Amino acid sequence: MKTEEIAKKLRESFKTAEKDDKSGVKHKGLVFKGFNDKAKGYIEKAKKELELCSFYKDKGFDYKIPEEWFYTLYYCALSILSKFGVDSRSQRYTALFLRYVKEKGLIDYEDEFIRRITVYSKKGEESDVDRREEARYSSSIKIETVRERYEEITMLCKNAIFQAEEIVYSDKKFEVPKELVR
Amino acid sequence: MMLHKEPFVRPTATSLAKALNITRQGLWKSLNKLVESKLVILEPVGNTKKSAVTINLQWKNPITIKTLSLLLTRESSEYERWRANFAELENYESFTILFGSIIHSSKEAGDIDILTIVIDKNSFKPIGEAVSRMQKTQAKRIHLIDLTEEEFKEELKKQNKAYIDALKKGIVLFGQDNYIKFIEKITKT
Repeated sequence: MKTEEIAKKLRESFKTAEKDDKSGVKHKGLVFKGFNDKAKGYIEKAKKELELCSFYKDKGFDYKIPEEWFYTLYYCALSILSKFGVDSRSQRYTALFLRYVKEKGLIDYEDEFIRRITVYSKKGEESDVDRREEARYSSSIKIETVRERYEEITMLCKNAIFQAEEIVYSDKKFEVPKELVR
Repeated sequence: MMLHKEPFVRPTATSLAKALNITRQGLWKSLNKLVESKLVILEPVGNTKKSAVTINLQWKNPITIKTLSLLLTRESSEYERWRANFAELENYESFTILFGSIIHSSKEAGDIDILTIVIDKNSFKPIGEAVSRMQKTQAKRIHLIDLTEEEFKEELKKQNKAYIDALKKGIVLFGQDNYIKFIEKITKT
């Protein structure tokens, strides 16, 4: 998707969600809530998710691990959105927002971390969203591929936490690009 | 701040001005104010009027201790990220110093150097366990040095360069008051 297309979708999301929020309907997109301290809380939550992975690995609950990996990355994403003062109730728009601000050079955050939480609807395109669902709803408890890739994905999650912390604890002010909320 | 960061050094006006990269005149201006406030004491090296003086903290003045504590706490508040990361250590330590390249270039640093002075020897085990837990979510390797006050004092007396550097350039993340008491003790011995 091109940057301008992403901007268009994000603009629509902000507009609709704000309208819903004001009329007392639960919004399903992105809302600018102003600056708050939630970002640090999400970082802590991301760490708790990752800690759970080693617990599940030790206890043999392989099928739970992809879910915790996914939520580690997702909470990192939410921490960054919070730093911008944005509240999200949509996985799709969370990933799109990150992609947009990354493409605009506003954050230093690896594409891989964004790609892994991206929601794909076309067949053949997959991310951790699909792998999480697959592991959660399949009948298997032990999953060989999870064991094989455990160290690699855990390290990837640690790096995502590190990069999210760099943003969240930075003194720099992060503002939602004007073109998205005008 | 520099005076307590190098407790075994008795700086003169010349050496302190050089370290702070300011003129001697500029230094004297500030020093006179500190002497007036009884935060600093000047002690002549020789017996003549023109003898050089060493500059020392006035430990007898309780305001000196409070001022140092405030300065150190303010300094540590600029490292909120690392205070959050190592918050668990606060339960077992007398004081903790963050040092090394992580202070200035977190992205490029190879590891995270932490020096923890424990309350007592029983704290070694829970501190080790806490750091192992932290390592599970930390991309950089946490390099922990944990010592008792006595062990740390001995290492400093032996002029252990790594520990002297930790004092000189490190950030006291927690236990600022304990740290000041420790420095006061070793300065007097």
